[in-house]
Amino acid sequence: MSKQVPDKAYFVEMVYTHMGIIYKICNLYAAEEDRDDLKQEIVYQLWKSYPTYRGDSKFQSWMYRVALNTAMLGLRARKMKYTRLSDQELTISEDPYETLDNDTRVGQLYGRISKLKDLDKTIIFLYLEQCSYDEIAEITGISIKNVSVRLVRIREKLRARLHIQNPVS
Amino acid sequence: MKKDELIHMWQEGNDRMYRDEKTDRDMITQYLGEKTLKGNRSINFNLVFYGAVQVANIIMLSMNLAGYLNNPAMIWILISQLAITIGALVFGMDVFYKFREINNYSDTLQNLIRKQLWFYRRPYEVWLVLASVSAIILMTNVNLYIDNDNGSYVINNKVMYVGVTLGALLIIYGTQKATSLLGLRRLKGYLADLQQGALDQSERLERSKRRHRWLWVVLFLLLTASLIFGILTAVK
Repeated sequence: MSKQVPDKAYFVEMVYTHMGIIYKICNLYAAEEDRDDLKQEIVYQLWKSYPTYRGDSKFQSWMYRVALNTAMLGLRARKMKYTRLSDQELTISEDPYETLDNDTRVGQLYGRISKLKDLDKTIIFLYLEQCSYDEIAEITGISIKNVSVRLVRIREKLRARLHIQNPVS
Repeated sequence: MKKDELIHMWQEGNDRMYRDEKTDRDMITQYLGEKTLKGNRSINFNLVFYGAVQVANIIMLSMNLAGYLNNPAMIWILISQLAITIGALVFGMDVFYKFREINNYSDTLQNLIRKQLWFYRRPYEVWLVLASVSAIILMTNVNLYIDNDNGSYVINNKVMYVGVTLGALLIIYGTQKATSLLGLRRLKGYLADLQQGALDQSERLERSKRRHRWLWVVLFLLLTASLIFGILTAVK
């Protein structure tokens, strides 16, 4: 049985449509000088993994998974710069969103998220992208309960830092 | 229910980001071409290098089998080495297939890291041993070919011969092992980080790496000195 040849034109169109996912991940996981490399790396890894995409999940969910895995494992494997706990207090002013948009809370939100630990960063990123708990658990490989507990903690932390009140039901 | 204000803020930030970023379809297609080449090159280099050693071994062993045809003891030694070489070649192909599999990022993050850890703990460890043994087989067979005295090979000092061969094996294996060790420790630390949701372990490894950097410098200096001493002794 011959292996199915992936449709490159369709793939490029789908990636182009969801390119925002890649921008956001690059901005959260890579230092400014590494972002273009990470962007290319993610597109390449998506293409490499594309034959394994069976269409049983949304293209977007699959794209989140591959892109996030590339950002976390690819960055470390290639020794690209990543935000470490000890550097966090020192690099506040270097955050691109804070320098570009220092006066707004949006800039502060990006800044705060980029300083979270990798797994927490992934979970809150997927939450803000409005992925369901099921999807977050499926992408990260942790349990739904764990996702829920962590999200409560992360959101509380972010709200406290950004001086936002808890949402009213 | 009112939508979380964090989500509103996030969406607002995205609008700003889309305004600045410009990646069109042609650029995406271009990324595929560039990265495919780079990816293939790195895989091919390892594959070709390991495969080249095995092919060289098969050629040298075949030549030596012909050269020592009338020496029954040598024939058995050479046939054993040939069997190891063919086994190493097949195993190497399997390792590279598995390596490509564990670098498929479409799995969940936790599974991916578990698979990578398994790979580096099991098949990769065996591969390191086989790569070292292959280098020794090549070295031995070059000597057997050069010093073939009408189908016989004389070892003047058996203890020294065994010692040097074992020493070479240990050095080759040790160098490869030391190189891979740091990466594996990082990976283990990272898995623990993900499970615990903290970067403490990675941080500790980074600090330990910086603390032990002087050891690598001393080792490098010692090896360089012994190389220079060896060359000078050989020239005399």
